[in-house]
Amino acid sequence: MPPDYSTILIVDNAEFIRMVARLRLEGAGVPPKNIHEAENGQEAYDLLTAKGIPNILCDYEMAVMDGIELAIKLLITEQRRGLRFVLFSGTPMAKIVTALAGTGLDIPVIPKTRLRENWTQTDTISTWFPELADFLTHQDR
Amino acid sequence: MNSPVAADDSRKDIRILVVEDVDFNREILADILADRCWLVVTAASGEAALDILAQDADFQIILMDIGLPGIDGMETTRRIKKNPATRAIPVIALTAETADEQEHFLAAGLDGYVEKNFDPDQLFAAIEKHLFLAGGNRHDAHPNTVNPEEYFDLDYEALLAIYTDEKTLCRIARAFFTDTDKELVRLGEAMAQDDQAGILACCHSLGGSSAIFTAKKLGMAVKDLDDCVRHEKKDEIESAWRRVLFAHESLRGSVSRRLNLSI
Repeated sequence: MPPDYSTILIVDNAEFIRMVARLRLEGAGVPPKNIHEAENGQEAYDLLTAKGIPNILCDYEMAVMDGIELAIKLLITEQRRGLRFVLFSGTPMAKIVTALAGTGLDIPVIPKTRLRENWTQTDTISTWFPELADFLTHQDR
Repeated sequence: MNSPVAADDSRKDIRILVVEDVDFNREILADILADRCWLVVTAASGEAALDILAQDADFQIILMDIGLPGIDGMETTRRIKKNPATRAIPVIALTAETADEQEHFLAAGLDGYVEKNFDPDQLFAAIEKHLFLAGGNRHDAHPNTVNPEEYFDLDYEALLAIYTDEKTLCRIARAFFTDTDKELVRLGEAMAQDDQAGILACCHSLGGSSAIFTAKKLGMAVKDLDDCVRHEKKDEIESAWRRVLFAHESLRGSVSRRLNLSI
């Protein structure tokens, strides 16, 4: 399925965290119907494959296929192009950097506490998901 | 939820007065409490309880049946709270009534209530909470001088600023407690099995959710438990776990009152 850059997938095992992330995305102008959710890496993999979702905001620690495992599967093993993969976590950054070292992954990692901030198209979204920000800009016109 | 809180030597000098008119119930309660190594004195009526307290007011908790013959539990509590020698002792109602009666109980001076289902976990949690509020020390147990609000963990204005409006905040709060309740069950299981990796995983998840919900005291309690497990402070793990449970329940009480939510 061709990528639909207006869509984004939130991956976290906690409904509470998914709800807050959705709130942030909606606050930045992403239409609710364009925001999808998955509880773990495996569910995320199935969903983004079926729906062609190219933007992924994914938790690091999950019981079934964690964020790094999912990223490796998509970006390294399957060499999928055009994906925007952002890892978010409550784990100290140094630990994640260590976990990423040697994987070949080069993806942004953000602390979960960023969920306490309001997100906007012009900074947060355009930095992490530029194609999604473009879609939102054109949508506003 | 299972609350694998073990007996604690520091609590062996805790004395509890059980006021219950039904012999069978009184014996069950005494057995349950004795399992915790707490010292139990029983009274079969409100009058008998007041007589005991007139002779000896050195109790840290009173468990009070409400439906007593003669002076009922509410009136007995009013008299206990009028007496300067006994008013500081927390009185917890044993009741089959619903939560709707809570205001009624509080108006009578009761400090809390617990369902009369003889569930040891519920009973222990209620008692531990009041011991904690009282400082857990028989010699300085003056709960009336403790402001319970200081244990509550809710910066309502900050939350409203983060979550935009009260309706959204209510949705977020429900999801927070749904998730953290499940996580605490998992944490309790991991505690019972001494599964250190499981405990740390639950602490991680609870810590993340606490940070995003701005629940600082819960977050600190979780961090303490995490620290105890990582550094194998075995003697402190149980009390750290109790503090997590208490911080979570305090937060729930605070949120439910402030947002008028049933959670």
